[in-house]
Amino acid sequence: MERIGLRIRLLKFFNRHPHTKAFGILLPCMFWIGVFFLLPLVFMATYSFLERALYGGVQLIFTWENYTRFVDPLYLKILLRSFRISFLTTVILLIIGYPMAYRIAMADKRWRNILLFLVVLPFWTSDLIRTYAWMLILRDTGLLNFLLQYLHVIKKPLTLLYTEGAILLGLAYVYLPFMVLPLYASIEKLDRSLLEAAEDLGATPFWRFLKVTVPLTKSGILAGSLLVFIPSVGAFIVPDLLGGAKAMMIGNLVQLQFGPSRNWPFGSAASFILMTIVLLAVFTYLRFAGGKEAMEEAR
Amino acid sequence: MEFTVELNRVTKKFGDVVAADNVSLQIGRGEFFSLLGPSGCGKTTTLRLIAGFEEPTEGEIFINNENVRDKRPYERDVNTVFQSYALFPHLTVAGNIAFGLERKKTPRHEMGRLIEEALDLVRLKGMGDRYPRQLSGGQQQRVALARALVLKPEVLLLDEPLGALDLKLRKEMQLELKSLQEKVGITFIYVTHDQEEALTMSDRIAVMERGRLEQVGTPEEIYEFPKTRFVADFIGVSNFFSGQVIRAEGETLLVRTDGNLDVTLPLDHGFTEGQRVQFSIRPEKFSVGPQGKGRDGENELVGEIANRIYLGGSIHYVIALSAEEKVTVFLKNERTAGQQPSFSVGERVTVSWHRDDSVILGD
Ligand SMILES: Nc1ncnc2c1ncn2[C@@H]1O[C@H](COP(=O)(O)OP(=O)(O)OP(=O)(O)O)[C@@H](O)[C@H]1O
Ligand SMILES: [Mg+2]
Repeated sequence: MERIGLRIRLLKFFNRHPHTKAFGILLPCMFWIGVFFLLPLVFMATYSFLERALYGGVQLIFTWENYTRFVDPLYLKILLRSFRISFLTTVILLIIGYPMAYRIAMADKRWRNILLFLVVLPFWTSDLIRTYAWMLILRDTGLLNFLLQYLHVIKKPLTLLYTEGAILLGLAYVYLPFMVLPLYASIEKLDRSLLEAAEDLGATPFWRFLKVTVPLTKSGILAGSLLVFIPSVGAFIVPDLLGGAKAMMIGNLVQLQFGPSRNWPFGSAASFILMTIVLLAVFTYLRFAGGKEAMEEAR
Repeated sequence: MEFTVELNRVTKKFGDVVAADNVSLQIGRGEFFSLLGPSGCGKTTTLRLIAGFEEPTEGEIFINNENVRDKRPYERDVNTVFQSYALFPHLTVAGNIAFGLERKKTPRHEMGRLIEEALDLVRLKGMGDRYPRQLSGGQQQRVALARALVLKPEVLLLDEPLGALDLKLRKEMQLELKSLQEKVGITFIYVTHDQEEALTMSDRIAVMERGRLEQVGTPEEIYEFPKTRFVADFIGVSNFFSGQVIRAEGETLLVRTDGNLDVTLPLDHGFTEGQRVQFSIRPEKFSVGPQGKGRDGENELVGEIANRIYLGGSIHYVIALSAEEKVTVFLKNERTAGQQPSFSVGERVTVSWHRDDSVILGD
C-alpha cells in the first residue's frame, strides 16, 4: 500500500510539472553514467596529476611529469603505431566490409538473415580464444607455414606472428561485424529506384557507386568507421597476443602501467592522451568526411 | 514509317506470372504514345523492358532500328520519369539535373545554361538550389521531368508521372506535359491507368490487359470502335448486348438479343446465321423521345425510364428495354426557356439509335 501510494504521488507530481518528466525518465540513465563512467573518469584525471606510490595507487603530490614523460620518442612511436594500425584496419575493413554488406543487403530475403547470422556468429566465442586461434595459425610452426611448406611454396617458415601485419589481420578479423552491420543497415535502406534512376541517366556501375550509393550510405560508412577505429586504437588483446613486445600499441602500454609496472598515474595520463586524440580525430573526421549533410542524414 | 521504338513479340515472365505476353508495338518518332490498362496489367514491365531494367524472356526490342538486347540501361538513348520520381535526395535540383549531363561530359559553361533552360521549361526557375525534400509533389515531378528532358533522349518513358498529384494539379500538368512534348518533339511513351488522361493526351493508345495488348489506335478509334469487350468496358461507359444472328440482309445484320429484342447491326461478313454475337453501344449514341423518328437504319425500341440522374450539363437515364436488358443513356440537358424535354421515372419512351453506332466486339 505504502509503495503504491508513493508511485501515485510521483505520477501526480510529474503531471503537475510536465517539464520534469523527461528528467525523471533520464534519471536512472544519468545515475548509471555518473557512477560508472564519469566518476572513474574524474578519478583517473586526478590520478594522472599525482605521483605514483610504490605498490600501485598514488601519493597526494601534484606533478606534470606523467604527461611530460610521454614526449619520449619511445612512447610517441607507440602512439603513432596505434593510430597507423587503427587507420589501416578501418580502411581495410571498409574495403572488405562494403562489398560484403552490399551483397548481403541485395541478397534474397531468405538468404539475408542467414548471411547476417554468419557475420555475427564469431561473437559467440570470446575474442581472446579467437585471437589465440590466430596465433596457432600464424606462428612459425603454425598451420599456415606448415601448409605453405607442405605445398613447397616456401622453404623456411615465414615470420608472421609478432608483426604489425598480424595485428592488422587480427583487428580486421575481430572488428569485421562492427563494420558490416552499420553498412548493411544503411545499404538495406537504400531506395533501389535511385540506383535505377542513376543507371537510366547514363551512369556506369562504377560512377553510380561513387555518385549515388556511397553518398547515400554515408551514415553507415561513418558509423562503421568509428565503431572500428575507436576500439582498435585502444585494443590490447590482439596486439598483445599477435604483436607481442615488438609491436606494442597504446592499449598495451596502459595495461602495462596498471598491471605489472604499477604506475597508475602514468597509465591514467596515457589514457587521457589517447582519449583526447581520439576525440579530436573523430570530430575532425565527422566534420570533413561527414559535412553538414551527413549530420542531418544521421538524424 | 520510321519507328523509334519497336517491340517484336516480346514476352516477359516472372516465374508463373506472364507480365508481358507476346507484345508487338511500333512507335513513331515524336509520337505521344500511351500504355493504358488496369493495375497489374504489365504497363510498368513493358516500360522497364524498353529502358533495359528487365530482359525479355522472348522477343526483341529495337530502339532506332537497333536491337538493344545487349545494351545496358546506361547505354540506351532512353530516359525514364519514374512513378516515384526517384530524385537523388543528396543532390540539389540543379545537381539532379546535372547528373546525366556530367556523364555526357558536357562542358561546364554549357551545363549551367542547359540546366537553366531545363528549369525554365518546367517552370521551376530559381529553384535550382533547393533539395528535393523542400519541394511539393508537383514540383518534384517536374524536376524528374527536367532531369530526363535535359539529356534530349530519343525516347522519354513516363510511368504514371502524375499519379501522386491531386486532380487539379493533375489536369494542369497534363496540359503542360502535352504542350511540352509538342515543343521538344521527343517520343513519349506514357503509362497511365487513367483513361481520361490517355484520351486527352495521346496520339495513340495501347490498351493492355493481363500482359496482352487488347487494342492499339488513336483515342477516337479506341473510343468509337473498341475491338473487345474489355476495351469497351475499360474506356468510357458501354451498354453490352449479346444475341444470335438471324440473318444478313442488305447492309445489315439482323440479330435477336438474349432479351428477345430484334435489332440491326452493321453488316459483318464474319457472321453467319445462328452465330452468337456481342456488341456494345455508347450511352451518348441514343436518342430518346415520345415516338421514334423513323429514320433509315434506325433501331427503335420502347422502354421504361428506370432511373434518372441529373448532372446539370447532362442527364443520365437508365431505361429498361426488356426484363433483363437495361441501357444507360446520356442526354444533353436541352432545357431552354419554356421548353423542358426531360423524362421522369416510369415514363414510357422510344429509344432509338443508328445501327452503325453499334460496335460488334471480338472476344
Ligand atoms: N520483379 C517482379 N517479380 C515478380 N513479379 C512481378 C515483378 N514485376 C512485376 N511483376 C508482376 O507482373 C505483373 C505486371 O506488373 P506491372 O508492374 O508491370 O503492372 P502495372 O501495369 O505497372 O501495374 P500498376 O498500374 O499497378 O503499376 C503483376 O502481376 C506483377 O505482380
Ligand atoms: Mg506500374
